Amino acid sequence: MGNVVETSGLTKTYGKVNAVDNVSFTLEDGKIYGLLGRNGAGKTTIMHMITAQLFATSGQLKVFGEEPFENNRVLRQTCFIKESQKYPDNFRVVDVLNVSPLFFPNWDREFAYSLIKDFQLPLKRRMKKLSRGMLSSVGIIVGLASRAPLTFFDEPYLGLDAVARSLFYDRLLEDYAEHPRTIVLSTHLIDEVSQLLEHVLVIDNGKLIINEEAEALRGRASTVVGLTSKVETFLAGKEVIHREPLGGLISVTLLGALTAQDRKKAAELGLEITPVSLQQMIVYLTNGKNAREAGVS
Amino acid sequence: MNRVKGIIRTHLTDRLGWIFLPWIILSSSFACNLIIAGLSGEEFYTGGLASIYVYMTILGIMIVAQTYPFIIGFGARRKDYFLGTAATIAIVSAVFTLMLCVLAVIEVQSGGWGVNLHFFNLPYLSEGSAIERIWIQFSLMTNLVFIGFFFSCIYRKFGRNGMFLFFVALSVVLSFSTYFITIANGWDEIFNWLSGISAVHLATGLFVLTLVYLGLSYGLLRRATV
Repeated sequence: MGNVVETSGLTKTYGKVNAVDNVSFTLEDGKIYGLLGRNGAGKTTIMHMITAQLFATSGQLKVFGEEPFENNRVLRQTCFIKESQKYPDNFRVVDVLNVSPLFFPNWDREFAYSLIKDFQLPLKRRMKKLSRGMLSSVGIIVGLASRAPLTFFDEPYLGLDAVARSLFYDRLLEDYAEHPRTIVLSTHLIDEVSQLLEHVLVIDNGKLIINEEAEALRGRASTVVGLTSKVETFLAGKEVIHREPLGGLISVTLLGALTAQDRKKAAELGLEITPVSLQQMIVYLTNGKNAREAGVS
Repeated sequence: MNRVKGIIRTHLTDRLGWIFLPWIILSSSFACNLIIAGLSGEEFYTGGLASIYVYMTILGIMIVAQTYPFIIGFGARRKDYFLGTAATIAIVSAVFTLMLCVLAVIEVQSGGWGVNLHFFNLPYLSEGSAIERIWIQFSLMTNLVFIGFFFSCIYRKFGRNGMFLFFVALSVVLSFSTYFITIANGWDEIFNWLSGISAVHLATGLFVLTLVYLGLSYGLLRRATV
């Protein structure tokens, strides 16, 4: 299990704005990562730099142990499916499928055509004439059938309906089980993908604020509901990230794992503890009011 | 080499833009001129051949905008993109040039398509041996495509503002050179010199210029982003 991607101090500056600010992380082989964060947080910029489509202002970047820029050994093993991918005007869906194997050596033609059937794409239609959802489907098909050892999906399902999205998750998991590789999913639909993710990276304002195993992260925050006075006693010494009063009751979201003792105390006070979904937690952590360094591990 | 071939194949997948459209445009121009020549009944010279050269210049401009973000987005090296694109332009230009030269021969043999039309076989352009003619047209065509390609590379690297600055700088340079040539009374000499040059020499000069655009284009593309 080697490191597929290693960055340290990766920074991208536009004028005075740090789009990506001193980001360091590693991606291991054979895992599904979630790269999460708000619009404009810098997720796409990071993926662009890893695939050598943008240049870092400073910092170290190694992909498969090498510099990615102008490096075919690296570029041939990566596939970056982005929402903004452009296609030549005269290209039809079938043309994109025909040229894909020229760029992705592990391309599986049969798999690609079975996906075309699944997503009901018109092969002969020009890319320019496709709807937003169909365009996203083409990206998903290229991303899956390329079987690149390092695959990025950046907002892969813009305009796709729920059926097509769940089809994507199913095919992704099936194919990942047969052909393990490193997959990075960048998305807003955190709850939908949270079950898929093994590891989560959260970017906020260009900074990496969370870098943790998804499992560990799920226990990182919880919501406590109860009478305001009782909740307040329970809160002593705990890190609060969200508060919501409801009449005499209050719902408070806490950061940090709760110990058995905490739970016992809560039970005595008649408080209810519920886990916080990944999406909720990330909303709390990245909504500006609570901007903080949430214990980068 | 495989990767460069892959880029060439990717370009040529767009057969409409690269192959059919230039000939559709050229043949409609040819058809019009043929009708006019037929109706006039006199020996008829036309510049309709320019249509294919104009199209190829525009193609050069379009290529980068249309295919660079796509091909780089699919994980190609910039160097391979450059080599593959330049090779595609060279191959297509070579084939087109040969076809144009064959058509020029047919034109002569058929007495100007039976109506004394000079469409493919033109004075100056179609002078010298077969090899010289091919060289002249090939050099002219590649020069025009690569000018378009070069402009497009400036846009890729520096965006709209860069393009704007480039043309401002270019017009300043041209204005000053025109001014200095004028005050030095140099125009006569320049025209004398130009008229003394054969088409073949001019073609070779153009080819050297083409190599300069190519070098500059590569420098720009290597640092361009998607």
